[in-house]
Amino acid sequence: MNRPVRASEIAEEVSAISYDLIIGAVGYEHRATHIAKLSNLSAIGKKLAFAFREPRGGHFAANFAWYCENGFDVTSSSDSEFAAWLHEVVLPKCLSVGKIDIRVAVDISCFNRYRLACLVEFLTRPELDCISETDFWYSIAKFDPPSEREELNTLVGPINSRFGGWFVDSDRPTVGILGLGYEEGKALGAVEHLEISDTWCWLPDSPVLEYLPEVVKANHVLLSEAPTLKHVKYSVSRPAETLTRLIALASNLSTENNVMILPFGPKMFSLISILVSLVHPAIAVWRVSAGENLAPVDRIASGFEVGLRVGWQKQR
Amino acid sequence: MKDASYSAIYESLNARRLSPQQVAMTFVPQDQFTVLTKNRHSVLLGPRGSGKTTLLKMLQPQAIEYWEGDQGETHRGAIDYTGVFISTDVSWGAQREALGDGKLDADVHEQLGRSLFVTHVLRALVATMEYRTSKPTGKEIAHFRRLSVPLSRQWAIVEALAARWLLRPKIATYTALKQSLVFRMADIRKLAQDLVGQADAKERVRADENAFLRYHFLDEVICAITLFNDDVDEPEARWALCFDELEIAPDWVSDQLFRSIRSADDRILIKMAMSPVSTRANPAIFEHVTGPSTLNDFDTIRLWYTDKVEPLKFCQDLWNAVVRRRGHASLTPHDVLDHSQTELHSTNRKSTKSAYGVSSDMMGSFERLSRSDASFSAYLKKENITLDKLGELTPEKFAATIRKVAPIVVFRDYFRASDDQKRSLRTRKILSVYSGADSVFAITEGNPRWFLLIVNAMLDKAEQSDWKISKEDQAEILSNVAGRFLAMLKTLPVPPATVGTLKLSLIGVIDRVGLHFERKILIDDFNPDPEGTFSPSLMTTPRALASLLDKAVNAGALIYLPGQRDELILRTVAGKRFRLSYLLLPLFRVPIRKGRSVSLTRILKLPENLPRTQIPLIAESDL
Repeated sequence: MNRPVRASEIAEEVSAISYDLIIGAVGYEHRATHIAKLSNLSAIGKKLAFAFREPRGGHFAANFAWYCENGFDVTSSSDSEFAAWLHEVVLPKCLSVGKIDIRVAVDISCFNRYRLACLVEFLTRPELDCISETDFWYSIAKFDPPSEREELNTLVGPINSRFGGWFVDSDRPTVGILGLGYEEGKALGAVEHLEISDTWCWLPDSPVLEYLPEVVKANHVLLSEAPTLKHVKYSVSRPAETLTRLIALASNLSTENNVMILPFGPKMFSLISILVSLVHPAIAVWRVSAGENLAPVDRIASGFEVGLRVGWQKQR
Repeated sequence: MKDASYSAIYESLNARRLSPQQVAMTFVPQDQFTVLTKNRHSVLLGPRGSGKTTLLKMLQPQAIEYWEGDQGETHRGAIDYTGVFISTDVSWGAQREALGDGKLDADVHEQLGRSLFVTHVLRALVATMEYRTSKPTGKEIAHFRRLSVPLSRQWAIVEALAARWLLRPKIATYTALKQSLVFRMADIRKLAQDLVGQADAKERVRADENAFLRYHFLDEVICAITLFNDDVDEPEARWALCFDELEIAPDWVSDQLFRSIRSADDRILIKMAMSPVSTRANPAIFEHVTGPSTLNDFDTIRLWYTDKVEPLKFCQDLWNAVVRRRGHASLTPHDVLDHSQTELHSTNRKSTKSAYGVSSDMMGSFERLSRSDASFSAYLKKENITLDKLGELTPEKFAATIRKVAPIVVFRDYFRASDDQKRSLRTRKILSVYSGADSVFAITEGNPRWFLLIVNAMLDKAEQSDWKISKEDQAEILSNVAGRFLAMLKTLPVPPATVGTLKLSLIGVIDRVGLHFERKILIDDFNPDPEGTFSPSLMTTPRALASLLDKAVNAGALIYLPGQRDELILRTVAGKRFRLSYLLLPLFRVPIRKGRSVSLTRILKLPENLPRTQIPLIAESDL
């Protein structure tokens, strides 16, 4: 299994990088095509896009059409089929590039957390020693107030079975590292449900300035109870720095505690959490999800793109 | 002033995260604990936060030795077995399920999962043996079942167990044996990963070198305690295996445990904690709990309270412990929280009638309502009651017509606009009508988790103002905690249930029930005996709805009210009687009472309304 050994913010524009393979997600959000549109598509050999079966609506049809028209190989399936798609479609595409060191870009903006986990797990496969680095791109959404519609959760559990963690001693206290989002009470509800005794609250400092006050407001009860020492503000634009800090905190806490990360909020924090669990497999990454009951909410690209370049150590 | 240890322990609110010693240092026993300690098998039933984990943890020697005071001494004398606490929780359960990353053959997965659980049990057992034979630290209040065993004999037992369990501890000590079992669990996980995609996975699981995968936990426990007991010359000594959160454990565990109750070695006691509804619906459980012979097999201990009076003593005990820890043992609940507007409990006839004196708050409510609410006025007339002549009523008549309806009167007076305004409700956002010691205690449901959360927050506030907290501040704290409880309920993964044309979430059902009772209390004509409890019909409750209600009961949102002949372990909610948790009542402006039962089917036919649970809880009064 390959492991992440280095990470850096991507200084270049996405259009300036020549990729051998780009992977995107066809969803209902406007921003689903944003990163792909910025890329130098004509120079990219293999272009793959994965479409959700449900939910559709919103901008889905337009996104689907765009991907097809721009040379992407588009496949549709459900969450449960996604891991198989990666193995059956993406793996041969990667191997067929025929180079020792292929450059891969993944637009994570519209992947759900489960698929993101499957993607990262896929990239650690030993057959993929042809990929020494992967660029993960994230298009930050323009601010929209949080939806008032109630989401019915159907899942509270590991982000996928690979990243469920391993608590060697179940009697040790569980510490929660919460990446906060602006859905009211969601993180608090998860803390209550999982009976987490101690929490570290990570607040996203986004270049879209309207988000942070909403996050603080939506989590005011949780923030009022956790000591301010355990409030950590992280920059959404600096994912490599955030990754380093999160690894440091999580590994420190795991010496005496069972550590669980709950990445609400920006998708980039979810990716970072998954990478932490790759480095420290005992650390669990969990999600709270409405699954297919999720009400589609359109998100438009804000114009801020964030890139995290992850270098893999190949282990056969 | 709180000290650091107080903060760490009291504010944890979760016994699962505390060491046995920490649990003991703050332990306030409920009456049910005495039943649990008996030399019998037990099933401890209660929703989350009701104290199941605490009570089970207190059966361990590691806890009993740290229990101060007369009660500690009494129980040390009464408990004549060694308790072994076997923990489990949602995350451990999920990690067990995720063995092999979900890619293993089902039989192989089950085999490995079982082995993991068995190893977990044996580790807990060895940890307890280690404790009993270890040297005391000197900090214990008193010793409990401690043994002084020469090292050579310990080595012999450890070596025998290691040989049997195919372990190789580095040295022959209980500590090293325990660590080997921890490593064994990691080995099982690694084996699961290695077996993914392997055609010979089943054969490898059956191989001799993996014989440990086929151990039966009870057999191995009996072997271990036989060795131990014989060596310390206590051949008949009993051991209590205390299993927490049984609903998270695999089905086969509860099945084996219930079977073991009848057939196990006499030296083994089984003590189980579980939620009131068996959501896994393992038929084997109910095969064991039906029939007259089961009445003698185990005690079923209820850890929730059906009404507001039952938990008062326990709440008072909890209060005393909390204020004592804060260094203010003399503070009474009424000192800090004042009295409730709705008198909940009074056995003193004289003080009861004086509470309805001419210038009392209560009389004010009655008088205002008689002027503003024609239906209430009609009630008084029908009962031949004149408010300025209450003293002339017989005690029985007073109790039946005045005291009984007082909570309803207070709420109608507080929330209703006058009849002139067409029965609308005042938008009173400060729910000070729920303040006061009796109300606050009732709202906690005697649930230690909620009690500590609420009372600690109130005492933190009161400490800033000479140990008094205003009604408004109490109401804000209660609203915040209700909101917190609601956030947890919203997180529960519960598929919605379709009922007729309605698609109902757990929150949606709670909303409709609460709104229905709110209407009955506040909007409809005055009724001295309004509905306040409900029953899902046996004939018309769809399975999806029943499943949703199961989760609500286990989460503590709905409280089961068993009749005298009703079983406590529920296999279905249908046909049983429930009420809303009092913790949720501030969201619905309903007084703290039970009330008549109504069919849930009738409630769910309500027209669509704005769900009460989506109205923000606001701190400022609009009075």
